[in-house]
Amino acid sequence: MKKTLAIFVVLLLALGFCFAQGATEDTYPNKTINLTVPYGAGGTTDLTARALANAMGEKLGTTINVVNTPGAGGSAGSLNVQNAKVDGYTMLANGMLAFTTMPINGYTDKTYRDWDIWIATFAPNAIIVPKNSPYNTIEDLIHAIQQNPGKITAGTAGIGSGGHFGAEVMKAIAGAPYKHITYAGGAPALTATLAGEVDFCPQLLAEYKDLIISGDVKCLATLSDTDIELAPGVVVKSILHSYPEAKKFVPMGEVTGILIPKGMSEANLEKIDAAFNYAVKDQAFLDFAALKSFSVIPKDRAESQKFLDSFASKACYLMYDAGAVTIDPAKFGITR
Amino acid sequence: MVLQYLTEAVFTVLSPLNLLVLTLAVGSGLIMGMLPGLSATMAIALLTGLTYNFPTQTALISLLGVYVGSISGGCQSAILLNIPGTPASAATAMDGFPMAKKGDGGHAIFIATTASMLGTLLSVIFVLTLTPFLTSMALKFASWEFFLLSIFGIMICGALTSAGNALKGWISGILGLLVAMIGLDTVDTFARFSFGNVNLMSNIQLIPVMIGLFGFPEIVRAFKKENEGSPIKVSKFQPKRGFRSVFHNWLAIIRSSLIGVMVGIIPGVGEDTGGWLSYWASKSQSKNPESFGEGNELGVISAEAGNNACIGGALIPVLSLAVPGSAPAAVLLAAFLMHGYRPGPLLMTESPSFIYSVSIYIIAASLAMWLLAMIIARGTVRILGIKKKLLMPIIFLLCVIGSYLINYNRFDVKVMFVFGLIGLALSSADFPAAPFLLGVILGPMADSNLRRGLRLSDGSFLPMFQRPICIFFLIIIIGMIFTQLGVFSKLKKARS
Amino acid sequence: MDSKQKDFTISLVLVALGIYTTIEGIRIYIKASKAPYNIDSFAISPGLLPTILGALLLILSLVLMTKSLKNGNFLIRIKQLLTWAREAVFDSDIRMMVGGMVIMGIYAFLLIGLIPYYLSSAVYLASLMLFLRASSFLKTILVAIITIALVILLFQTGFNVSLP
Repeated sequence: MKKTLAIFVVLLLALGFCFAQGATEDTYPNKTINLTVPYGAGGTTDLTARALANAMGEKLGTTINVVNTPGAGGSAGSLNVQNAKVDGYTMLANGMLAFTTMPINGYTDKTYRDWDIWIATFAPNAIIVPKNSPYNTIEDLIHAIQQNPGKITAGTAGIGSGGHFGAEVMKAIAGAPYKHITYAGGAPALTATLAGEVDFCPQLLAEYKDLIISGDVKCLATLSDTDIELAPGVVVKSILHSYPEAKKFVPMGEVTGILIPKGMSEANLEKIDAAFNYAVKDQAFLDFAALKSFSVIPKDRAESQKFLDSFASKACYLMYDAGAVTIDPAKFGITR
Repeated sequence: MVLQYLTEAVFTVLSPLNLLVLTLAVGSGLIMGMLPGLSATMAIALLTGLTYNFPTQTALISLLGVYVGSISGGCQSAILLNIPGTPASAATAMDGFPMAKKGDGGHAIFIATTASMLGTLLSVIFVLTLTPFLTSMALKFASWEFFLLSIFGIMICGALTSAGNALKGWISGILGLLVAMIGLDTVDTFARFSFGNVNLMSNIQLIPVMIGLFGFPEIVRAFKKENEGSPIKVSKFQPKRGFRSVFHNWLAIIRSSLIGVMVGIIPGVGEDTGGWLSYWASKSQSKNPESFGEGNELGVISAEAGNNACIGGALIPVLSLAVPGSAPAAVLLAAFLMHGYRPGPLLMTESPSFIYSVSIYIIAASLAMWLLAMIIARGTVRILGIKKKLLMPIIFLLCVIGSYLINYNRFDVKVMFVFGLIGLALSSADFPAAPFLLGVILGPMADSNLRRGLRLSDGSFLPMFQRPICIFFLIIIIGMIFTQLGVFSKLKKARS
Repeated sequence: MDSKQKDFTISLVLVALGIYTTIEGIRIYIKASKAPYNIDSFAISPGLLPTILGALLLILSLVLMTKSLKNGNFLIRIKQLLTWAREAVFDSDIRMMVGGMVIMGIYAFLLIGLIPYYLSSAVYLASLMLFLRASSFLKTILVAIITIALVILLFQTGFNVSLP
């Protein structure tokens, strides 16, 4: 009896084994896809990823799970995806500022050229100060940085975050350094600004749109090249009005997209192409983008690479010239 | 107006579809909370994806239901197995497990669940009445306050968990803080103690550490011969006795809920810390503090009321500033945004009914939680009756899944195993595991806030002694060190 | 092992850990003071807290060690530790625990990822339960299969998450 049962069990397991093997060779996608967001839940990248994931999953006929793996300024999660098996079931959603500067930060030798990328949205930076701050215009703040080099504090979401780039633009305009205070994310940096712990916050406009409208913080300028109307009567001025020489840096902001390491078959990539094109036209996604003041700038794989050639150059050399990194972007073939 | 919003919300909840969704959400929340490793954060994150296409109100009900359920469910595994289902219920195990060992497991679950429900309900009242005032409280916390709060939390936990000998608790807390140092630091992204390993660089995950520290030793200990005897007797529910216990401790419930709400509001500190602080408050107010840790009902009640009250507390900054007060609340914020709400300063003008419907939904969820938890507990208390040698291998299977699911990374399973060995060594030498866990939770906060404070002050420690909240924390911390060194009792002796 | 002996053993490990952490903390400070970080002040160096914690750990574990040496000096304690280790090898409880941990370790480190999840888990569950002599052969196999089926049903179908 015992023997019969044992044999039966082995047969059962073997059968299941074959069945499982057969299933994985089926057409892509046949199981849940994991979309890694290398930041905490609730942030800009996370929200964009979730909105995209839902619509893309609909088109692909599967569920796309968002997995948050915060840590190390987004590089930890990105490296996890880079090292995972390239089977189309592990995708990355990331901001391109942190992503394209990973090689010059020394995290990896691979650049954006080693990935297939679909760019979805653009969100500009904006410079805000606490409600009771002495600075009322962007000129006030720039003068203060010039007069107290290294004393004016900027609260950002960390090294290589969108806010860090915004602060570097301020440094380039002022020609004098600021004091960089890093927080564990956009939300804590914003709380610190509300509490008056830092002098200004150069994160993304989307993160504090509502607080600007309600008057809880003062917005001095946006690093977009045009003025932005947040609500009737509430217009955020472009920095170009005061400092036209900033032209070479703006529009500065976070560009977010979906990424997969190169190595997938063209047939499967085309399925993702279709899903992406469907998602960026999805009404729920567009509503979400409007709510957060993102611009939807969908780019396919070829366009994204082309866009990133100039974007990566701008981002990498801004950091390199500011002395924030020591690895020359030219080492990775990123030219000015 | 307000009354209209409230009644509308009540009617929304009572529609058959929403009642069904609420039951399902709370039920699965409870089960996820019970399973080690499936935390509240994860439960909400999973559901956010599923509810994307639900009608808005139904989605809100299911999300809040799963939040309340998962925070409350953790107490059952903490009481029955001494393995907290979520980090939030670690304090509940302190007195809950000894109660279960005495054969009072059913009673312990009853009072824990009832305290959970009351804590949630009280926190909702605070949300409704005090949101603007409490928001300004949250903004009083800056780098130095965060640093001292985290040190304070670890020291309290160390002193509470090691009967009489705080030295071991504090060593355990330091070990936890050291584990939190592993990986790229949040201020300068400098790789510490990582040996070039990418998995270590991305910091040690909290959940595998928790499962290892708490679950592993319990599992391995069950392999001993002595466990071959008959399992623990299971007590029946005695609702009358349970209600009497809860009613008797009404003051502790209100106090714990208040503490829970406060802890919940402070961004970055949540349910994990709330339970410990209210446990400490109840113990230090108690006439016989030595009975804590031996199976004191008050300990279970305070811990559970405290961690559940964080739910309302954590929602306050979400609603008023769009800044989450705890990790699960962060996911909830994302979910609110997905469904077209804009929590934050404009909420009251744009969708004035939102805050009232959220409150009603939480109330409904906590009532449903109580009912469902009681039904589920009838089954779960039977776990005590299963032979340990049959049960524990299965528990380890769940531990492996829980560790893996947190990041879908097999490395975390190995982390769980390694910390299991560490936990076994520590617990066999009578070192408490809870301060270790709290050290891992609060370590990044202590580190980055200390250095941020020092960077803001150009390396001077002076601001720490100039801010009122800091001084309050410093006095308690120094007082605690003196008590442990026996300075006060020596002073008394010297005088007499 | 009595509790004093346990304290002594663990304090040996902790002292070593304390020394290592303190040195590593200072090394982090030195490394961070160079390019590309250039953090020359110790107060804001990433090495600050590791150094402080290492030193604190060293002090506290030395206190623990002195307390544990109240009756018996260092060498006697070491000798007792060795005798205990020799006896432990033959202790049936410890053998059971170590054996169980080895099976769990093989499952966690090797089997997962090598063969499909349900197969590795079934093999692990059955072998651990058999090793512990938890129940009869037949019942054990049945429990293992039913458990795996339930787990897969709950997680993959119920919660919609993919297992290792």
